[in-house]
Amino acid sequence: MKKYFLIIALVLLSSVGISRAQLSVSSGPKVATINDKINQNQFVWLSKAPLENIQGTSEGVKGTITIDPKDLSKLTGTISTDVASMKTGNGPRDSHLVGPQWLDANKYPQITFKIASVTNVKVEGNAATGYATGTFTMHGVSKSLLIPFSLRYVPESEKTRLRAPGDLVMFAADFDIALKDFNVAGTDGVVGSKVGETIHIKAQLFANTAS
Amino acid sequence: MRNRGVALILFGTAAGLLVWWLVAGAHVFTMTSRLVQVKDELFGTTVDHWEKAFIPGLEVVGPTMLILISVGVWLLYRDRKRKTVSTIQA
Repeated sequence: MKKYFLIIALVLLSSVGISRAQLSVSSGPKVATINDKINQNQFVWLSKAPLENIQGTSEGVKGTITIDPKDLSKLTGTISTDVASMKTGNGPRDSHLVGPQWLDANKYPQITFKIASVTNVKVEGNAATGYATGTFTMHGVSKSLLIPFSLRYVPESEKTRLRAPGDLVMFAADFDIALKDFNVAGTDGVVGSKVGETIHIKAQLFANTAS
Repeated sequence: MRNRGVALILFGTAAGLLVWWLVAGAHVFTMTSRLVQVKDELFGTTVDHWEKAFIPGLEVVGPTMLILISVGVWLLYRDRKRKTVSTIQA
């Protein structure tokens, strides 16, 4: 009887360990700050339209993420990027993009994503994947988005200190947004012909846990 | 004959420009920089960086091709006209 009780207890304990989505790093909750010294923080976006494909970036990324390596489901944070930092490789087009007919950087200077909760976290060593639910705000419109993400946690070492102090964390995410959901109409007839109705966004964010 | 040779070079250059434009991505607007992927060994990923480059757009290639073809056609027309005049004189 004792033997069966021990087996059941072990099974229960191991299932608790799995459900806590724990990285193989032993530390408590930490605040990771996005830092360009680690690597280029940016959102790379792609507009696919019948007449032209446009690839661009949004830099000037700032933000903090609270991460508990022992329980990734508690991950929260806010990330923002400067609209005026958008680049497409063509100066006049960059000016149009941030102008009043498109993203209107003067009126809406930032695009933000506020992570409210994280679900379906799967961990493998110091890497993890999951889904972040949060509020995406662009062009003065806020929408709730579910964004699949991956992260890699690199504990502090001689190698990491060459870039920034503390533990380093990389977040990557791929998601789509529809321009009409954020009231971005652009110039007449351009959306759907030269600019895609949906924009694919790839986020690459690098943060460190020491201030 | 000389006009015809120059016209052929102009048509060839126009065709070359078209091929360059198509191979470079068939952009509507000329780009002065492009995204290149740089490997980050620490995180085992690639990161996009801007690199200076000249990628011709249709607004540059289109008018240039139009000028080259127009001059070529004009040279061919002049060559043909001259030939006709010399044939009549003979």
